[in-house]
Amino acid sequence: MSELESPQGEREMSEPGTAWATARPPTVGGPLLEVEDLSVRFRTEDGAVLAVDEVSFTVADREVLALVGESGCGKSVTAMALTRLLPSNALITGSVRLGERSLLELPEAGLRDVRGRDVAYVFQEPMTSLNPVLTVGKQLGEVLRRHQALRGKTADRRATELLELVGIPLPAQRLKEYPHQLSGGMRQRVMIAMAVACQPRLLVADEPTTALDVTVQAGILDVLRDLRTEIGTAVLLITHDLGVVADLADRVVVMYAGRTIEEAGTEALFARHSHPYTRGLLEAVPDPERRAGGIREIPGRVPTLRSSPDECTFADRCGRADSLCRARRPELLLGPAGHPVRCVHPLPLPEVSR
Amino acid sequence: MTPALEVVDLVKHFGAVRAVDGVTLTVDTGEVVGLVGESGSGKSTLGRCVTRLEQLTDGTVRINGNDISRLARRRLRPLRRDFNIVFQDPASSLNPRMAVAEIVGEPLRLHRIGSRAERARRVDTVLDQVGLRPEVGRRYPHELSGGQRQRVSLARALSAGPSLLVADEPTSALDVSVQAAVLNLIGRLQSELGFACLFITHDLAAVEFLAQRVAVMYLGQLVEVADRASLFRAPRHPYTQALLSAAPVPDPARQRSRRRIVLSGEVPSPVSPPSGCRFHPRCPVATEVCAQEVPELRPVGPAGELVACHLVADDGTGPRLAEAV
Amino acid sequence: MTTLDLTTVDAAPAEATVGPSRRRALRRLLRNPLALTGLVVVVVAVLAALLANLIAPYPPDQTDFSAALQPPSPAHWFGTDELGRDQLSRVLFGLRVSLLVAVLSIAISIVVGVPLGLAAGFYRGLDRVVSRFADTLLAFPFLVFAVGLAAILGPSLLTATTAIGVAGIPAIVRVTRSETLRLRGLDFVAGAVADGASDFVLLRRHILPNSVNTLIVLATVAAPAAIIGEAVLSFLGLGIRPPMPSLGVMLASAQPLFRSGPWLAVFPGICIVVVTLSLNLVGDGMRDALDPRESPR
Repeated sequence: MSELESPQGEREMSEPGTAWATARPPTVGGPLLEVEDLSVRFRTEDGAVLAVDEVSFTVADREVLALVGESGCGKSVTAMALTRLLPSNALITGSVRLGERSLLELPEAGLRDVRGRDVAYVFQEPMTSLNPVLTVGKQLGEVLRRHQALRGKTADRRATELLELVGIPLPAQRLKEYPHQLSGGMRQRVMIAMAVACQPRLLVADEPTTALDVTVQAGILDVLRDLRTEIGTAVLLITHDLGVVADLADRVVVMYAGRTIEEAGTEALFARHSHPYTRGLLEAVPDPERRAGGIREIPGRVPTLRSSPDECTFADRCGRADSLCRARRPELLLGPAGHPVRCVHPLPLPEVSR
Repeated sequence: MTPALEVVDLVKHFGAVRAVDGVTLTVDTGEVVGLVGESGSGKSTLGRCVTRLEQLTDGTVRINGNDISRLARRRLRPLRRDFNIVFQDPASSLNPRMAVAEIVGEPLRLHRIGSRAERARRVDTVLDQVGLRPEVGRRYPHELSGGQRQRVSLARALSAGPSLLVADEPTSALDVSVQAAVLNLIGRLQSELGFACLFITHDLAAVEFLAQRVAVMYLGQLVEVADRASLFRAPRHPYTQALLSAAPVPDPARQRSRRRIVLSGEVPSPVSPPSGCRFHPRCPVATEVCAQEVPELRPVGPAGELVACHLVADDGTGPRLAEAV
Repeated sequence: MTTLDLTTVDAAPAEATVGPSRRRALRRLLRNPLALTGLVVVVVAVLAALLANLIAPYPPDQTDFSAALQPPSPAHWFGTDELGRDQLSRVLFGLRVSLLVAVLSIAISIVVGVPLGLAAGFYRGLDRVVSRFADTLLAFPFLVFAVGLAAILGPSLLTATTAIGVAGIPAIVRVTRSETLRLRGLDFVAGAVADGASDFVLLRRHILPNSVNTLIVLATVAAPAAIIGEAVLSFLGLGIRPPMPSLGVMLASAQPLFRSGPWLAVFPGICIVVVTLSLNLVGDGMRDALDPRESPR
């Protein structure tokens, strides 16, 4: 049985029926998740496709980090690559460290332990992630049995607690229901409950609210936010929705064409972003105050890359691009706003007026 | 002037599912009306009924004064020149076996507008209007991106020059930056060509950008209809307030300091809607009468906005669920 | 675990091939080694059958009692039968008959089945009638039907073709019907209705062209079944009658002579196996090549 290093050594699991909250003390010394130069290539019938291009970031204990970008930027592939949840034609290189362990080097058996216990996932479509022929109780029970060896009444009690944790009313009743009897928001909550059943260190949520109605979304975001205090889980949030980022994230990493292009605290990113693409994203949201000029568009399209070009991948669509931008691959350096940005001509700080 | 679209007491039931249950709405010539709602609201069904892609269970639909509610298909077809619809999903909204020029020219061909040469020219013009080069006409849908496909859909719908366009979530399946482009395009086309537009969406930001008037739909019925400014500044119906409150704002400072209205429960199934006001089980301020009587959509306030809520007085004052954002 | 769908909504397509997607499909087919092998064999077989007149070393019904029941030899590659007829020539002409029956019977199935399937998928009222009809046909045992047909028309090429063709109708109806139902619900069909298309236009320009892929696959799968069907019927005496060669007839005649002349059964048998196997490989390859990724979802 693999354990995560913590100052106390053994990881403590709270007994079923006892309080959740402070089951685990925060780790000291080093981030929870450290990703370094992660690259993912896919072998397709049309050749190789570079989906993730030397991506590096860290997630601290109990932190919510958002990976933001549009379709094709590689954020989902990055998330799946962390525990090698990719099809067999994927080539993953680089380093992913969870605590002291290197995930990319673990054998499959060790990795299976990590998945679900240390790193759990929540996806966009709860309907296809839940087994339609098993009741909620059975599915939760299966998770509890696999990772915590709980059975029978103990498992039921824990399952009920989990459903309560994610804010599902009448949890005992829900255990007997099937996924199709639940609404989308409920199903997503069940997914989250299943994901945190083993108190994972890290919860990876891939577009968890995109398929949900706006009025339901808020509730799910609240659940995710509370997980930090209730269970001490960090969240890696994959999304394209800047509103969700503004609501939930502590830090943000913006991705474009497989590369990270800007990293900042949430407030800093919105107020003092440095990369032209980030600005494009922020301005793409219709703002009633700017109605007259239309919504600012980013011309062109996200490229599909075969290999890592020795230039800025955004140059073709950037109004500020020049020959320097195409000379070589830009480095991720501290920008004028004080946070890392991958741009040869980062945006200047906004004027203080407002 | 005859409104472009008049919907009176439209009802559409699919067996036991009461998707649309008595909607009355008007869209004036050249006006953009946003129809907002979440899943189960019936807004897409309304859009399909209005364009007679579904048979109406009851009610009336008039387009430019023509009653198309129960017209036989053969009589209806020539009238279709005057209205069209674009859909949400770029992957399935274009015939994969037809080239773009054929797709865009289809309405012209079907309505026998112009000679072959004239149609070809018109196709090129329309493609240009939606921001596509004429060479795109020779391509097939699978060679295009999502944003381009939506432009082709728009070109198809507008090629015969309709006076009413129903846009059913045209940007929901697109990336943020592409959404911006398509929204801009629709806005520009609408002001250049002057067609009326029923813009169906769940995206409040898009509605605020494009629409002059906004109608909010919940579980098959309209709960509020108002001009854009009033609706966003001072929404009257509790559901509208909750909806506006729930939409996350891309501004961390504002977003985290907002007091959000949290609705209890989830949208009930349209098979057996709640009694009285359909929103009452989730409404934070519901009273007894809300559970018993169905509220009428009636004009309130000085500008005559429409609200269906027992708690809103005739002068427009009513419950405020949270402080202004 | 969830598989990752790499198709993104607005990313540029990996290769912008001009023209309809069938060209890409063909290329994909040719890249598949098994399918390619099958295709080569099928093409060779078809050519051999078409050019039988030219390449057959002897006329198929030329008897030569002096060379009766000869095992394979340089003069007669496939040997001779009890009447001294060259087996290679007979196999070639027999193959021609088999392929002819296959093509004609599939044609019958399609010409009858596709319109029925379209109608059933499009008009709910007709659906009940057509489906019932197709189910009835399906329930009817094939051989019983063939026997009955033979009793009326007499055993012949026509009988075999008709029997097999009719037997293939329900499958075509089913597939066409389900494709029609699926396509009807797609947005581009609704868009065509909004454009003012009549039912006929919808079926002809929107539904039928998008069903063709599935029908192609079905046809390549039906062909081997038809060949075997003909062989069975002729073997049982319900189809081709001697002296006209058909692979089935040859197998039938070879049966009593198996001890003394095993080659009489082996070559027609191998021919059937090889051709049907190849058709199956091509059919599989086609199904993979006409990948649903590109057809409307």
